[in-house]
Amino acid sequence: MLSTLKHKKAICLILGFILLLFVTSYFVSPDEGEVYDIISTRRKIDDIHLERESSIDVIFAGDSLVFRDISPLKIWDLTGITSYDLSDGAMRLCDQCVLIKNFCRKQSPELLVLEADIMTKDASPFKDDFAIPTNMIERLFPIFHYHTFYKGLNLFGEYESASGTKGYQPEDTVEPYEGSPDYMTEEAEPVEIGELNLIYLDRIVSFCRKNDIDLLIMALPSPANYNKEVHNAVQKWADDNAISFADLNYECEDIGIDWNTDTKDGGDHLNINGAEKVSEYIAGYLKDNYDLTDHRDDPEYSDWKILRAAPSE
Amino acid sequence: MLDIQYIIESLSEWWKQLSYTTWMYFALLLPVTMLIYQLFPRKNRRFVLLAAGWFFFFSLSGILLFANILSSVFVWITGQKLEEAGNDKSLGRKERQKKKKRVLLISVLVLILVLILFKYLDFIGLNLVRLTQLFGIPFHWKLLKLAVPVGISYYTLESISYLTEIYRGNTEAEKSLVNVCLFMSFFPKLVEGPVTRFDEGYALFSGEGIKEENVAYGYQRILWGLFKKLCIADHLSPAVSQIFEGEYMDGGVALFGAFLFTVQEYMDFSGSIDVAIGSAGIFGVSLPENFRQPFFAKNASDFWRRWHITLGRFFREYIFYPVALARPVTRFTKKVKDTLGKNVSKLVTPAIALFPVWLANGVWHGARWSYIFYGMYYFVIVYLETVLEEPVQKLLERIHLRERSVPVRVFRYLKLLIIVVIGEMFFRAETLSKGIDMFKLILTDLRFDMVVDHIQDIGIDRYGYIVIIAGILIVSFVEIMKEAGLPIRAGIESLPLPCRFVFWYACIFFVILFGAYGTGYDSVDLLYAQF
Repeated sequence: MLSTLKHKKAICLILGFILLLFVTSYFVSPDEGEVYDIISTRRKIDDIHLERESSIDVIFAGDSLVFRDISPLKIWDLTGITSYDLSDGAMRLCDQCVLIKNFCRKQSPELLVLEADIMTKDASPFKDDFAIPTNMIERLFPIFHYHTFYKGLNLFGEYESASGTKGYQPEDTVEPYEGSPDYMTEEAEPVEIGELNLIYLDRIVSFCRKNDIDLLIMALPSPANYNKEVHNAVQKWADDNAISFADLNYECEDIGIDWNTDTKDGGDHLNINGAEKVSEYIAGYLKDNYDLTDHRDDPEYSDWKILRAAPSE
Repeated sequence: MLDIQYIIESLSEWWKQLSYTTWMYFALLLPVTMLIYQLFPRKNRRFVLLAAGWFFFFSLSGILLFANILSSVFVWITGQKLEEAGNDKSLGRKERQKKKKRVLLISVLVLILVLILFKYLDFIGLNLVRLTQLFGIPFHWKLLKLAVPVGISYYTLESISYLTEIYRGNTEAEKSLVNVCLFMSFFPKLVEGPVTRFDEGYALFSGEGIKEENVAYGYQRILWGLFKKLCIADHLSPAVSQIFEGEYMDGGVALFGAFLFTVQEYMDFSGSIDVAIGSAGIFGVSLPENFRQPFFAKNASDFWRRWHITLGRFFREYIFYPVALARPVTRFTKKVKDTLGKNVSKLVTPAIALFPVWLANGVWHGARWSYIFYGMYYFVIVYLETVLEEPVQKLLERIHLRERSVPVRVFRYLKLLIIVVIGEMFFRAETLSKGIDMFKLILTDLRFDMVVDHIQDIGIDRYGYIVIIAGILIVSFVEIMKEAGLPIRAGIESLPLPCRFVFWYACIFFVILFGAYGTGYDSVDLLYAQF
């Protein structure tokens, strides 16, 4: 009798625990799908929602190269095109998919520019892709995967919104790139876009087609991340999927990149000097290749003019 | 379609991560072992535990499992030989004793040589090169870089303890090879101990069924261990690494780093011992406690009776007492007493007996001069405490201070804290010279502006600090209760059922939410697994 009672208690305790795991998992999981970094995804989603509805025409998606190298306000200055840097440090494709979907809930962009670096990097929502049983447990009870979700709530105001610069995070540090300027023609290890990356890229392509968004793949100047083989791998994927690919690593001279003054960390990211030049080039590229609206005379976009006047950059 | 090869490769990669704080342990090894153990008939259950131990060993050390098996076979055979020598009626008492001693010495020597082979050979070779260079003798050493079987330092001590107890007649040689193998590879204590005596492992062989209260107790203890490891130690890990491996430092940073490492090491090691004791408890095995509120110790000797207790017990029983009571030592002490007086002789025996204990302690931790220095550091401190005990008592009486008065206790506590933190600094420093440099900085450049300025840049965010501080407060509260002899567990058990449920759910979810695991955290190996 006593033993049966004890058993019942133990079963209740375990069932209650499982129920709690399901309930907490439900509340912490992002609606749009699995992500790797719940903290940066949550913070970015909060940032996205600060944007006025249907006000952004171009999304620049990718990893840290995007928010260091592209200034949407500079592009606005030159073309009147509204754009947004939808990126974070070491962002993975899985997180990017979720952010794009979330972004498009309130926005109707005409063009998605996907920076190519993210295509060849780890795309899995899990820390160790091979840890199948661990990942199964995390998939069954996402609370284990997203257990640090509270850090994304910005409870102490530790995250500074980049909304004022439309996602761009300028950096004025200068650390010259001392490698070869011919990094795009030198021999390099063959590169392959991973299977999981291809799945997420397919999802992005389908999403764009479904929502009538043009997709452009763009590689920003970065000797630390690009070489001939990366270019070839991305080009092949772009060709296979009939998507335009602009590799700015071959345009450094035209852009006017000076690797002594324009990079913040020895050829990985650009600094504010480099970002100005690249943004100017992109502004011209968008104007020449896409039929995007110039909103500079539109009174509805006075918020952009105000931002430009503010000394935020 | 299922990619079988990928799944097999993934599993083989995954199980290399097996540790007491991973899913592999909780989701697979422990529950599966429990289930199979319970399904097996009583007399065969030890085979299940043995298989689990060997699986654990193989997953961590691969083919080196054979080193463990061979050691077990060797210990089993020499145990029999020791008993045979003791029962050999054809020999006289003295000869029997001599033969037993010979068997013991040879077997201990072999075990130590195996330990040296795996763990210390490169260290000895490199130091021989340095030494011969001093005398201009050409000597070269090609680094062997041998992989070390997991837990070899622990099971070697356990083997020596087992054989010595047979020699002393305190225990009988185990007839069953399986039981000896099981004792040497019981999975909960395989990686970090505690160093267990053979008689403490008897319950292993009984095959008694798993009891519900043991499962509850075991998992509660495991949860406590995970709390210490994941919520405190692993949050501290990046900061400790940054400070000890960083270039920029002043005395304040060095002291802060040493303090953080002391906390990390205690939480990591005692936490994994909690997991080990909890896991063994599920199978009805009571492993010895390895920690007893060490920071409540009144001095360094007392600290070592509360910190890594089973290692201290081993050195006390198998080095300190045998050396202190050895005939040449007693004779020498008597001679000193007769010639130089009682007071001088009081200084001699502790020095002779303590020196090998602390040398062995330092060397046991690994092939590094900083570990040997760590042992010698405690030798000097414990020796000074021993010889100064009487004069200090007299001084206290003279200034009318009772030993239990608040100023004396506060002074003692601060003294102990400084001794332990500085000791841990030498222990953690990559090299002895780095440890000495840090110590010099503490003495000559002790300011805290750099610590204050960079407290947010050392790998712990605001949430991390909150969790660490809350964790330390909780552990301190529990230790105060334990030191005061208040039964915490009984207190929890006396709560009404719904309150108990809420309590345990809160504890589990605290670990789930605030543990340093998964995305954004590097998994941290158990600190004492390397020794």
